[in-house]
Amino acid sequence: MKRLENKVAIITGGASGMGERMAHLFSQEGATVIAADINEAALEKISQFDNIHGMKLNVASEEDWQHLLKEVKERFGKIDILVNNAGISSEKPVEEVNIDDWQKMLTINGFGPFLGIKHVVPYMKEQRKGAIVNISSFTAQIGMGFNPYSASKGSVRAMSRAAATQYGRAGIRVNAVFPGIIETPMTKNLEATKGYVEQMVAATPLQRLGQPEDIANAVLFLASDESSYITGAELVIDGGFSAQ
Amino acid sequence: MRLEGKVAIVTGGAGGIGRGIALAMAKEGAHVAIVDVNEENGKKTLEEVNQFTEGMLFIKDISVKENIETMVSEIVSRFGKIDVLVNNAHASKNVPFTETTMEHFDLSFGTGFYPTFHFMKACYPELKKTKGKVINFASGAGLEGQVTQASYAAAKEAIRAISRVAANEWGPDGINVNLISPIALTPGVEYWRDHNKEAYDAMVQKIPLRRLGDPEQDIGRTAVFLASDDANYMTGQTIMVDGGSVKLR
Repeated sequence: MKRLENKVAIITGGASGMGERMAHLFSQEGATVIAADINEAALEKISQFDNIHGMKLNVASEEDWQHLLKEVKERFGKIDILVNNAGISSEKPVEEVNIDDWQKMLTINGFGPFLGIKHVVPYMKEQRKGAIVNISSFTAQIGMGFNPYSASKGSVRAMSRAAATQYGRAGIRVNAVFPGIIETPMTKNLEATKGYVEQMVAATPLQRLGQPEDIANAVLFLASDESSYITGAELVIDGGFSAQ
Repeated sequence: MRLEGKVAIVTGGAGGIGRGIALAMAKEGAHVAIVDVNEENGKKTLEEVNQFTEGMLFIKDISVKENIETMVSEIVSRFGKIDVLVNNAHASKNVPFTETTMEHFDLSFGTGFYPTFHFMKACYPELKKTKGKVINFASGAGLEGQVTQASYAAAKEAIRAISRVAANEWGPDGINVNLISPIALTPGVEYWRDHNKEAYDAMVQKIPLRRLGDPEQDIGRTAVFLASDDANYMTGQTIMVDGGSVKLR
């Protein structure tokens, strides 16, 4: 039996980068996957694969969430898994960060997952079962990166724990994954910080950057029934960087 | 299968959580060497493992360092390698702090901490060759400072500390060292439940998921995840498999 046989899973930011890897892995493991993304070209591409349905979602829009969840429920009958993966980053120096930058980051990376949890919980409560996996960042665990990105990922960490405590008795599990630096289109573009990436690898016990599948594998575990007794937990997938 | 052809050692593998891990790993294709002091349960669990793969059984006292070295070399001569080391065995007594003696610490460190250390050291050369995985055990007793658990809590946090050190030192070798902090309905807990119904119910009410974990389905399958290639980029971490009881800080 496949590890996500008969499950219906929504992955935000599911059409590119780590989310895309998760979408393919989940579908290989038997899930019906809804890759929810704001990038329409990427959505069109990923929808060509069997059992992956691209659907438009702006995670910061309450209306979009309501519409998406209603449609998934109507078409597929249930919602077993929500992965709050969509997010943005910024390289803007801290001296230049203003209220607009802050609000944009916190809205997409913080309010987005909040809305996802807020609106999926009623569906999962009705089923008496559900698994939510939030993608935070190792920067939310250690003192690194004084910027809106770390703040937004810290908000994801706090929300995960609170939701786990609050909805555990309803059978809903909420866990978080904390990636280190992962080789994705987002990090590959960080040319300006290439030297920094090399330093990070040297300082990482496992001596390499993470790959999207490292994160996808951890998310798969937390989304599956193998982790039925795990909630409020934090899986740090950073090659041991933050354990030092 | 996710652990096809891997060789795993599970200490305390005859019953409870250890048995759950041994079975979950065997079902994923791993050969399992069970180390325990309970011969009767050990034989039963070995038979169960043998339905899926090939197991080995050692009825040995792991508080004796030489026993550990002998077992490791016997396992290597039989299976040719070691991929996974699970340090699950640990004995202790619950005693109020002021009644705790050196003997209680000797028991807890002698059966839990030192065997974990010696097994890790003895297996290191083999784990280096296989880019293997170490899975050690933490406890809410240590993380939360539960009452009457001084000797157990201390040993468990000591295990967590050396696990992180090994994760850092052995990271360049490609060895992953992680921990599980479990709550599970083992035969021991079942016995306690049947004699302390009210205390048991009160305990369950404090667990967000409102139940205890299953040794094989919950703890065993988490150990499979940590033993598999799926956890290759994860090291030095503690996974709470406790129904949401403790949020690690």
